[in-house]
Amino acid sequence: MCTSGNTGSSEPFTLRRPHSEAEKQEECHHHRHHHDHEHGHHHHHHHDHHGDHHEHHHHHGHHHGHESSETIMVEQDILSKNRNVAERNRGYFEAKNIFCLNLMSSPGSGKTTLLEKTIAMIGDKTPVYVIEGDQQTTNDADRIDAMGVIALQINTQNGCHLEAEMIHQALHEIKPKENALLFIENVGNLVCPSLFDLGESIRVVIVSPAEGDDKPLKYPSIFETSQVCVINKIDLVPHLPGSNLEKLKENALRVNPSLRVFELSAYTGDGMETWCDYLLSEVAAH
Amino acid sequence: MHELSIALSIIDLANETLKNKEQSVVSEIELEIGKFAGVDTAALLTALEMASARTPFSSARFRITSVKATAKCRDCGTEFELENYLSSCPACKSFRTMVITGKELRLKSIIINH
Repeated sequence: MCTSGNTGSSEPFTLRRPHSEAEKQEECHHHRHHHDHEHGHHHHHHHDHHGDHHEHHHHHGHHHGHESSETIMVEQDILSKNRNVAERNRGYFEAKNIFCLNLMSSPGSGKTTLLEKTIAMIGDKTPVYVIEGDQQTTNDADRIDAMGVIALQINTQNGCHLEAEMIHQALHEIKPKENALLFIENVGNLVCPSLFDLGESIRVVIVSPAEGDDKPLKYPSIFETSQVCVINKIDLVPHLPGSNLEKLKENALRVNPSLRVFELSAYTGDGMETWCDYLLSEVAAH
Repeated sequence: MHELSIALSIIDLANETLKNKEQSVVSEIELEIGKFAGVDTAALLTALEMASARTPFSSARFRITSVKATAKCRDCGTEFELENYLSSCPACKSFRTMVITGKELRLKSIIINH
């Protein structure tokens, strides 16, 4: 199930079906292929030159007189590998008319509850699939699985974000149907996920009023790279002295004026219809 | 935290670049990191130290060139240097700006000694 590949940059991660025990998991160790190289190059750093005053410059190692140096121009995007895999994912989504959302937020903004409520409202209208990213446990995938929706858990172990290769492998596992919605719930983190393209159709940043009105100003990158912002838990506003929903929205739009903002409460259902209509219209539009 | 992933990507890309090169000593790797690339330079250097251990790059010097962030105003077209994501256009005060440079994460060059 896991192709242990030469994808290189990823840390090991596991793909897990809901309710599965950790011990039974196959691990995808992404071997790096340079561990067995000869290490002879740096031996000259360790030369013992005690008593030899002429050798003091030896610590430069690479600047021996007889050596010639060559500059190789690389000029390549460091994340090009991830981007290439992301583009493959994107092509797959386009060909199968899958509207894929990369959901990013801090832990506890209500991503999984939003998914549960969304599935309850539109799960019978279009096929829905969920890829859950967390460092540990299948708790989130279990919650989605309980709703009869195909969910797959990616455990990143120590990783703070999902990468395109993880999604690529997850797609082989879940084999989504055409004309579907695919939610990728990224690891709860407002910093790292913004750098890694997964091939998603849109990026959604989810924020709740309890996190503070200035969240977009403190973590601008994630708001800047998203197309949609969901302000969840709006039912909490009356209980939060000093919280200002308009200010939060204004700050999000200051960072990214083209953000499409949805204000809702997955808990009370307020605003959920607008959100669900949007999702269905995106699937239909493709 | 993602600096380690980026460091591993740098080592992979460098390895690929040198795949067909004869055995040589890598003395320097030059990187271009934009001010808005979301990468902490100090954390990246520490991560590179770990990621390059026991590779042909373990004794290489990683030189990071910072790229300043610039933006173009979507309303009046003025190009200007960005202090942060909230900088408004100095000409018309619009917030509708578009980042042009500053997101670079590039492996620029590798210097090897024969």
